[in-house]
Amino acid sequence: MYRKFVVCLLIISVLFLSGCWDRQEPDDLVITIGAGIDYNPETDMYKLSFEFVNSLAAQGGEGGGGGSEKPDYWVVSAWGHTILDAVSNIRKKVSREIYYAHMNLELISEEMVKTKGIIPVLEATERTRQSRSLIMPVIVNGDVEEMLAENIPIESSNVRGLINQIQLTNREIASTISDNTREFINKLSKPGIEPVAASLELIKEQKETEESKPKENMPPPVVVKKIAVFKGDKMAGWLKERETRGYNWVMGAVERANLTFEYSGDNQRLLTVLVNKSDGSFEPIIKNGKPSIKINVQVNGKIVNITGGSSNLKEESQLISSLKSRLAQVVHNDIEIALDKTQSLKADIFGFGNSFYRLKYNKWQDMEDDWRKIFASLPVEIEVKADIKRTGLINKGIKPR
Amino acid sequence: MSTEKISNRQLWFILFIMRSSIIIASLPVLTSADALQDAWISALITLVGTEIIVFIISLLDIKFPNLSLIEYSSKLLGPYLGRLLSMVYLWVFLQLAAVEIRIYAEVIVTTFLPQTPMIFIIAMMVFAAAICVYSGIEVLGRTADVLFFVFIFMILGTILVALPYVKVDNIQPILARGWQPAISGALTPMALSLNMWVIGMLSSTTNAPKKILRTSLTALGSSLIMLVLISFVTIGVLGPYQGARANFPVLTLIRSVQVSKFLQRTEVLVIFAWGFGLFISVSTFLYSGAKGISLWLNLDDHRPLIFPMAVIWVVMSLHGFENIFAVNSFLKPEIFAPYAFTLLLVPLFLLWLSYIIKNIREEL
Repeated sequence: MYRKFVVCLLIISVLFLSGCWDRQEPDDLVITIGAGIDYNPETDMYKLSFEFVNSLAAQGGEGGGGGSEKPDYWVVSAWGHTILDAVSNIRKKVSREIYYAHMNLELISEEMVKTKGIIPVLEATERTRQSRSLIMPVIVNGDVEEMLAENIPIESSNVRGLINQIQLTNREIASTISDNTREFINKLSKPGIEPVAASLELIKEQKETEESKPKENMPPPVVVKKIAVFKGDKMAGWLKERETRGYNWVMGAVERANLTFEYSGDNQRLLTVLVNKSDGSFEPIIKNGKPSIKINVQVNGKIVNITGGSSNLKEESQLISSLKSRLAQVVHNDIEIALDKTQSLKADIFGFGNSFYRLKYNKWQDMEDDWRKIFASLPVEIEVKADIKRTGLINKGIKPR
Repeated sequence: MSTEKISNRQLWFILFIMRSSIIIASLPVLTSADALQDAWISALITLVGTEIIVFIISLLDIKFPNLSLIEYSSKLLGPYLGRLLSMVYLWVFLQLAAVEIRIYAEVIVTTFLPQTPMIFIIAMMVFAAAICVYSGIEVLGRTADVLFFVFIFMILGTILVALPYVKVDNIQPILARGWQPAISGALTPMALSLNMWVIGMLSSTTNAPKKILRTSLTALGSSLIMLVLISFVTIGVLGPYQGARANFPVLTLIRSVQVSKFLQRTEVLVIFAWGFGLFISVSTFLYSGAKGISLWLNLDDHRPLIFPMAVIWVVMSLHGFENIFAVNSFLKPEIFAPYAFTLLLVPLFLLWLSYIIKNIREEL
């Protein structure tokens, strides 16, 4: 009898095992996958926009191609005195419980990071229990809500599209970066290094043409262009594509990059080299009490394109070694312009100061307070070793007769 | 007296889990002081310090293989002083268990079940532990047998998941600010070895009490090596500042890495490990407490005491701290370390002193 009672009790207890007071039914949730944050310095208020996915459309699969009439995502925004205050104002406009754990992207307006700084966003991301530091902070030059609502061709959810666009641009041509919140905060809180963030830009031309033609070929709406350089928690300026690539060379973060330069001895012809292996590092040096940095970069590439003429790349020759040194020069120039730009901004995004902090701690203590000033005139020696490993499927150019 | 026995292997598992669970949950090497990037050195110091303390405790247990801590305290110091001293241990069991459950409940409430009343989480855990202890020390030992492998799998899983993200840059500069921050970071975790008084209660129930020294030293050694690894990985991934800012650094760590694009939310590893670890740890405290009181009052059986004590425990951990600030400031090295070391070293000193005096007297 006792046993039967216990068994019954166990079976009944299963009914209560669905999550105590925090039971959430998926039907009652709306999943937000991206957020946009804007700031108005005059009223000191934040505008928060959430992009919600339509969970029915998301589970429809690719084959269906629009089983439901409703759009795949929905953007809602509201103002608030803090970010979480804005969340509670969004609350009033949404019919379901908001679920944040799948948030992947935070679009932050340029206005906000220039006037208020990025701390409010990072703080909210770190403190709230559902958001994670896997979220990628991205600076937007323009209206964040418009960017979130932008319809991106091919993609069913534009947040995923934007993230892919950034990550692929980083991986394929190294002209942006894809730091997530953890890496951003890490750089922000360490001494002697300034954070950087990827950035997106809306191409606005299409707005002028009439919009009522859905079949018409749509121009690409968003482009990944530059990266935002921070000084502390506030944005200091931009790095353009080549400067960003220079930054990535130094950090050893280039996976692939296409470099185009003149063919040796013939300025009518251009050559494109795909760098598919690179390594970058730097070391802090103190000579006669003066700090300096030595950058070592190694790149290996292959020739992917020559714009014309005959070229004999069959065996080792003067030509190859001259191409190698040109390749090295291009990388060298990238790094140099990146350095010039950051030194003029006085923003040490490379972490040169951090390398002094890590490896020359005693010296760093003297420099710490005015490191930004020292960085602006820090002598940097750049050494690039370049090699061209292969030539693709052919070793001679087409020779017209 | 009692015929219930556990094997030394089971004691090994129990000690390992007890020492690992709470210290990994709140990672006091990093959060309690400003050790920052040297927190893994703090963990190493903790390792050495704890081994010494446990060596002294276990050595005493070897001298009285068939008696528990309460019994040999009375034997060494006489019935009155011995009983007075025994109150210290009983208080330690009561309080540390309350602190541990409270930290666990804080983790659960902060991260997963914000609406659930804390009393529910605490009461469930204590209730489960009470049933386990009521079934006897053998059941506890076998539970440890089963849960140990789950526990170690999850802890190693956590380390492996986070390992690819470790950047050695975050560890440097090593000991740049001297030894002082590293030592201050080691104080609280070392003081937490106060809970190793349970060795005194459990050693007499093992199969081979004479081998207790080897069991406890290896168990604590390996659990603290785990701590060194965990703190190394945490700082390596999060960086010293972000790690020190977190209330529960390991949880923050596991939330900010992804195994792959499709497998990211792996914090279940950590939470389950803590849950299991805490269960073992609370059960052990409950057993030690109940057993201790029954010996203290010369009762035949400790079982009738378990459920009343469980209720006291729930109240203690619920009302012992008003909020998380109280928990954090209790664990600060300048408060917790003097407190714990007093409760640890004064009884140890008295016990050893009387033991030595007794021996000398017998020789004379």
